[in-house]
Amino acid sequence: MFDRDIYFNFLKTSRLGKELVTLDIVDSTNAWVAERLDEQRLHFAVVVAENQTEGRGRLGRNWLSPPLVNLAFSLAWGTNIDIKNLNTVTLAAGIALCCACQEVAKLTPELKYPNDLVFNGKKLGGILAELRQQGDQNIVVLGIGVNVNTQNNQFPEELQRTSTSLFQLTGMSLSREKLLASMINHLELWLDFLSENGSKLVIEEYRKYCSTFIQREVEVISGSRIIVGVAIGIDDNGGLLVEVSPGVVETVYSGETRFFD
Amino acid sequence: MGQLSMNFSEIKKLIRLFEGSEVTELEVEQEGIRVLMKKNSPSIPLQNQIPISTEIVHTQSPEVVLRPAHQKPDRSGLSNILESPMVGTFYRASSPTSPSYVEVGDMVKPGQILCIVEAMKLMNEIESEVTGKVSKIFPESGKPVEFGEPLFEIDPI
Repeated sequence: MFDRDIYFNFLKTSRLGKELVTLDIVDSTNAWVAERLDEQRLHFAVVVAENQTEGRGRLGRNWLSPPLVNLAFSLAWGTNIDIKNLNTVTLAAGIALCCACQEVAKLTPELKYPNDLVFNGKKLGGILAELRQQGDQNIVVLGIGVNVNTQNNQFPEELQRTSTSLFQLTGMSLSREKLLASMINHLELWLDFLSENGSKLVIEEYRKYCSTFIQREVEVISGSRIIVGVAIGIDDNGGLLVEVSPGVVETVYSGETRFFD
Repeated sequence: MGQLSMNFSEIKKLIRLFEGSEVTELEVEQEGIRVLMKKNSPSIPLQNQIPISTEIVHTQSPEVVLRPAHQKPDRSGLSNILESPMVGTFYRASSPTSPSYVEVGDMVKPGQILCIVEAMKLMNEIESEVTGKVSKIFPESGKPVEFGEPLFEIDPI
């Protein structure tokens, strides 16, 4: 079971994650938080679940995770920064998770556009954010799932070739509590950085984490559009620049990306 | 939304100044609140009490309802145009298998979710800020939208 003492021993934040809610089983931590945004105490809280039955992926997809071995958590972050700058909150969160993996597992994942944590092309984790308005504040509910100690046979068969875990990559069983504390420490740093500096500097840093995907062929399924071309960079608003034919560049801000070698 | 920075008496002062001037259109935006005043015809002499249309709704009380800049009436002043607050992809439902949040003809109320605009996996649930009837849905679901692009037309009740 999740050990709160270990988590608090490693937590170094000023407010994020000081309130920790641990749930044995929940449909979705994001839904749990989103339903309770009226409770002020939850505005910077972290909610971690041992077992998520309906973890949310993008557009209603499920996030599958075996119980007790991984991290599935959500947090609410209240902010007054404008929506234009909030666009990059998931990029900032992605950077934070990479920093925490480096600190605890000595391994730095890459960010597949926009913010899937991947290592050697296999998915380690994902982020999904929901934006709500509560009075004058924007509240971002960040939902994060990371494969920590999953063994290969614990992944459903269809995911074994495309997913991986920190355990599989390092051969070490990691403390989930220490990793969560490190993630929250870095998330606070990066979310505050976004608040203070805006998107521009976040995007500059983000480019380093997705550099291996640039100059590669990509297919983006964005809503009802399919864009195929070569990823040539990230623009100053965080959009992925795709050269669809010589000299013709499209910018995409959302969607599923598939990169080819 | 930010705190309203213009109060009712300041807006009344603005209207008086506008009425007494030869200016035919005046738009003031401050911290997300936009006030648009228009005289119907610039050729009508000023003493004939030129009707003014504004984006501020005067109710009988007489309260003033201020709308955030991204939800504003159209030029006729009869309906509200809800604009996209960000660049992203417009979705009418929470997932491909879910029913649409609203259809044309539906009644909506403040706080009711109308759609999602997604950018970089940030799902922004866009809520109605008025009570009214959805008269138009501009983008197709799954299409990209720009900042300020019209999403919905809502006839207030």
